[in-house]
Amino acid sequence: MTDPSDVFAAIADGTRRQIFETLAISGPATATGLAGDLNITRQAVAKHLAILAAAGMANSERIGRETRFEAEPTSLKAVETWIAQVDRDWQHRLAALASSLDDLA
Amino acid sequence: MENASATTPSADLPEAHIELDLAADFDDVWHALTSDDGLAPWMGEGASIDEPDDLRFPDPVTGRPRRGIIDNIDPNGRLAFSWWPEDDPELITHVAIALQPIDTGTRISVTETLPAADRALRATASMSASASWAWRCAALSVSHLAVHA
Repeated sequence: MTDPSDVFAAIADGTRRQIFETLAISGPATATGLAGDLNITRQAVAKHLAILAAAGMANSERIGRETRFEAEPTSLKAVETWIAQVDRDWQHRLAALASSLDDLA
Repeated sequence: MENASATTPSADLPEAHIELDLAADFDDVWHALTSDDGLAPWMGEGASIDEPDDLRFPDPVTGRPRRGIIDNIDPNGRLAFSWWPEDDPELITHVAIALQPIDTGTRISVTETLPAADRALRATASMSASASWAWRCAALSVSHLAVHA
């Protein structure tokens, strides 16, 4: 199961977000291919892919001499859940704020 | 209270956003946001905003007391702070509150986001905590990714 903290940490970095988005939109790719597309070194891409994979945001598959990576979109469920919870919390807080202001009137 | 609305994230950041029209004067709402006695009725008894680097929110809504630091405060109705649950500092987030006078009172909008790494690192420095978890607690911008995924 994906740890939300790992996902939040993984997406904190702009390059990783870019890599994830590229995989999500364009489909599976190798580190070499991503490096060319994003104009960064293969080593840097490999490092970021490892972090994305550890966070459950990317899956890898060995095909011949290549390792291909693909995005794991279900990992973003943690983010959706966070947004929904924070939304509910603020609705309750603002209702309490409104109530306290009504008491002043 | 009226016109509560929760909306979806912006194009760039994963965020929760809510607006509410309050039947109260701008100054009264600002006082409720920026003074200890104003915060107490809705953020919990003992809420404190006097020390910019040591905000305290009992936060009865979640039952998890929070700490925080002021990022920006502007008497024109802008308040921004970073905060986190006392029992889980890794869950640091950024809150931006804006007030706007309207015919019926004051409109308040609240946006809470998962901060990018740079902001989390600044907050961590203010907390004098180890940098090791700062990176972990940072987070970002994924609403557009969620759309595409």
